[in-house]
Amino acid sequence: MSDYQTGYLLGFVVVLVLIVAVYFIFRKRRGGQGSMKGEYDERQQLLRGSAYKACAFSYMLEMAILLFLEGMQVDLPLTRGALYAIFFLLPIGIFAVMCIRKDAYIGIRSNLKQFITIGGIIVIVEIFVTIRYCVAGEMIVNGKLTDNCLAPGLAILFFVVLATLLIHERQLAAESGEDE
Amino acid sequence: MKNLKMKAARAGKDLSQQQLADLCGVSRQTISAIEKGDYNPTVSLCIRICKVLGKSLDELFWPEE
Repeated sequence: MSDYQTGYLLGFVVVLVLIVAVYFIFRKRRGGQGSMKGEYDERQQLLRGSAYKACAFSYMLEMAILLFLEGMQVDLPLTRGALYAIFFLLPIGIFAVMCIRKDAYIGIRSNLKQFITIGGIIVIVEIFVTIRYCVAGEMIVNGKLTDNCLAPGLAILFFVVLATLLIHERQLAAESGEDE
Repeated sequence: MKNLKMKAARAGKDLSQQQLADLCGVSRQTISAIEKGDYNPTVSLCIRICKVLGKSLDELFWPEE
């Protein structure tokens, strides 16, 4: 096994262990409840269902586009990794924006400020990572966008989600006065 | 169709949408959507709302002839 493969395998195992650890930490914090049941009310669950459907449909559409591009052997100005990164992030963005616009993104017991803080930190960190890649010349190699575009992709995704959320919250605050 | 009976019952109890939502365990937007007629709640939620507002299902959710 080459050094690259060993490093890759090690990284993969570490990420898996981290995912399991985070899951159990959250499960413990939620008092042994592993699922998100109870976090969203019935209307929100219904709307999230339709957002999940749109997300799954987007993935299927992307799969079809990907197969078409592979079949046609289209030479795109981006690497396969970059294409996968974009195709991975796009449906997540669709899901998030759909949920936010229908008031089904933030659960009834969730902390909005905490979410905005974490999202903001992610945006800032990813902007710095993007700048680092651009300065090092690792963003575009041989005229092709590399899979390092995941960093600006994440920054854009979280920025869009946060901006949509803040705009929507402002609209809701204005509406709540009229509804009472 | 707007649920004015529920809105009136809530106002009668001097509750805001947020207060009613908290008592029923749902979001404020869900209460707003029910009152506007944009969302049809399940029987379970209807019962919770009725209990909080001290009304029967008929009084709040049965459509008028």
